[in-house]
Amino acid sequence: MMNMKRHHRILAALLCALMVLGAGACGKSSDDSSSASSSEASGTQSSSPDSASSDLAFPLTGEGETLTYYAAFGGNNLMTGYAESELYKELEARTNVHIEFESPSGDVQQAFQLRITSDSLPDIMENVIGYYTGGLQGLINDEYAIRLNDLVSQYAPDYQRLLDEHEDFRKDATLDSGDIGAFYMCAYDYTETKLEDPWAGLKVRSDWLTECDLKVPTTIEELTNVLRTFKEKKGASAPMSGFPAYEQYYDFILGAWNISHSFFQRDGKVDYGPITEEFKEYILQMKSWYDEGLLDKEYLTRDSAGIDVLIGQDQVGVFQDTEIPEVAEVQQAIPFPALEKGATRALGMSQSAARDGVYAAFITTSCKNPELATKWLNYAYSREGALLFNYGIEGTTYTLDSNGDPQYTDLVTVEGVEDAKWWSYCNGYYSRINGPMLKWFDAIPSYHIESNPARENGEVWATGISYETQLPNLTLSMEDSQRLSTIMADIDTYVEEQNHRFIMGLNSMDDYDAFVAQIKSYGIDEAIELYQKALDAYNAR
Amino acid sequence: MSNVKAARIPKGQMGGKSFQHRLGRDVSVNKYIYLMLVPVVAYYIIFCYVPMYGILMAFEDYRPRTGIIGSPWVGLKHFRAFFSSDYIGRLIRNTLLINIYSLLWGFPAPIIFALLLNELKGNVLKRYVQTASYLPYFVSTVVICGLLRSFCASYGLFNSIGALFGAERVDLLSKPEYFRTIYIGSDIWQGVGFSSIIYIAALTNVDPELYEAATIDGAGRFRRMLNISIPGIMPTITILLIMNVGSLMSLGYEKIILLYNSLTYETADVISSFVYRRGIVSGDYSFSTAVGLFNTVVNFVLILLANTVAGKVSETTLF
Repeated sequence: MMNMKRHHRILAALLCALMVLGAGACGKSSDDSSSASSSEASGTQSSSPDSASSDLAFPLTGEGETLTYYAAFGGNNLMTGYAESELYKELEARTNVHIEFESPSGDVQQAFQLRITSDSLPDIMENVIGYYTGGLQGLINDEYAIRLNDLVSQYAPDYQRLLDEHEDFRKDATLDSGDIGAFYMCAYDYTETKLEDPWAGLKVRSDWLTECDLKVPTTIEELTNVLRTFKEKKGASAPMSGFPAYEQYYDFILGAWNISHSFFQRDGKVDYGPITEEFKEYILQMKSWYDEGLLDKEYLTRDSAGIDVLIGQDQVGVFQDTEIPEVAEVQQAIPFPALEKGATRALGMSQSAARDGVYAAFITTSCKNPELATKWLNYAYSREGALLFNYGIEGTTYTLDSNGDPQYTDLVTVEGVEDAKWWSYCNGYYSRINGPMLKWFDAIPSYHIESNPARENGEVWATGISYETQLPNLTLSMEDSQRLSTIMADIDTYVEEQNHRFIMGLNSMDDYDAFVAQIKSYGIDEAIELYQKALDAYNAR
Repeated sequence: MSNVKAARIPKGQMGGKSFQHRLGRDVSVNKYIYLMLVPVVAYYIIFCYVPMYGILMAFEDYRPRTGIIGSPWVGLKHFRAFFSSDYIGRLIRNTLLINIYSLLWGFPAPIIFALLLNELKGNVLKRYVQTASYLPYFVSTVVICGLLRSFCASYGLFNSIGALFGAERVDLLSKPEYFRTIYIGSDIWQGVGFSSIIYIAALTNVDPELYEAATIDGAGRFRRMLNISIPGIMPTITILLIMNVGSLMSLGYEKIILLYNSLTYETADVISSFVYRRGIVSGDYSFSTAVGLFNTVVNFVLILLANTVAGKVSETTLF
């Protein structure tokens, strides 16, 4: 009896102690695992650093070295992480550099913000710059990222070549200070500048067009006519629906006036869409559609399921996309409407990923062997590397034809169609869609699959599009970006709220001038100035 | 158990001894009890008290590289940025109103539910109702909001029911005047079963003899509920009420942003959703700390007030 009691006591004491220790240990994050591996053989560089003019020698290192790489893994049903990726296995075989991946789970932004506060960072971090206040310049100034100018010119000949040959890319990939801080995804082809087509746009019921004897609308006026006919002849209760929820990001309609819902540039001058004269014309156009019943009365609150219901009931003629089987067969992409036939128009969708500055990788100050990391990152910008990153593994996913051009094998274009396996293949398993690499937009497998409308649609949507109003990848100081978000918090709320009220007739158009005046009183001029300053600095790069 | 009993040292024996002495004696007598307290105390120190110095971030331009000690001190800059917003009045009003109405309608609901459940005789039925009422609580907010959006649409369930009685179909989620009703109503539906658990538990502690005695005295069901059940769970109700008052300024943005749209900002936009839209909040440690600190201070004042009022009105207080 006594003995048992004793045991209980000891057990209780042990449990208590464990809990205390456990709680204490949780306070420190256990990040140390990543640091040890990269450090071992930093002094033994085998390649010749001084004669960097020519291509690099392969493998990049004599003995197997390890770099740690921070990359969010978005999920892929062929693997549980990049460590299982055929792409990176092949890369390791070629470069002799082993990559240890660290992939944050859950909220990537939050994970990064916690990760960055720890003492030891992975060697390379990808796709996180936007999460840091102050951006890449902030990361360099705060000594998280290292300045790469010298390393790139010495150890990254292919990346350097792209910077030299493509003025636009150099500007996008260089900071105002002249620093090169990261390897950006380069969307500029070696030979021809083929940029990404819009990936979303307007679609129309082609069967209705035929039945009503209408042509594909290309202008606002023609679109109005088509909608009106749909309403009258087909009894559509919401002839146009589905996309206005995205309108404020992509400017499907507003682009006709060559402005945007946010900041844009015109002749090197920054302006803010909602305070322009054109925006009023746009609101009037939307309002007239709304009043006439051509625009879905509930466009603002209808979710995608609701839109599909409506489309399935033959109530919608112009929309963004649908999976409703009967309609999906007869949906046809139409160009974004312009004000006049053949006029160019703006689009809010970004044109090249380099401009977003999203798909970029930087080398951290924790990296013990930045030369090797630079060389390794450079590989994705060489022709062999780009073939691997864009097309995958030769003999498996692609073969080279007699011209030396890559052609996808049946694995991707025929078998890959089933369950859209091609997406899993190119989303990190054999190749990558986005990343710090030389990107060939031609290589997106869906473009090579028979009877896949993605490419066709993209080309239709690209007609007459101009990207000149878009602002490039600007650098704002931390001070400026804080000021900007304070100003814009009110303005964004106000504009979002009011612009739909004008369209829906909840506000009288007589009050429109007061609307613009209110935006100005919130300090839009100061915000425009901040952007102007950043744009001038960009143009001077 | 014997140790606990030994803790009751007669008062006379302690008289005159210093606090340390008494504490030392108490610890030596009840050492295992104290040992069991250690994890709890450690938890509060490590996770609640130590991080408190992080409040300093609200007054700095915090950069992770320079840390809390090294980051530049900017005083009230972030508070100014927050309060300079033209919408601050509306945000605070909406946050408070949604919470106050939630309290007004949502707080009595689980109590009434528990009282009614308590009156059910059939055990099988009781259990069934209870389990069924928990279920919504375990459904994710995203799913609930998806359902609500469908139900509230002009072609949705609510409008179809309304249409049977000749009402006009309206898009309920685009009307600012309906937002709070939808938000709070769905909250009550989702939480009533789960919140009632604590009251049901409290009700089981009421002495059955009291009910028997009352029945003999001729009290009906309603009388018994009024005079036995409710006084029996009154302490629980008071404590929970005080705690609820203490979170009147807190309202998560998740459900709000899933249900609102720019047409309903007038009643739906709250502090957290505004801060969320401000975008950089999670990158701007200092700003989010400032907003969080403001909410905490208001909540703290409210909880003190509620506690004092509760102390005056009834005997039960939180502290």
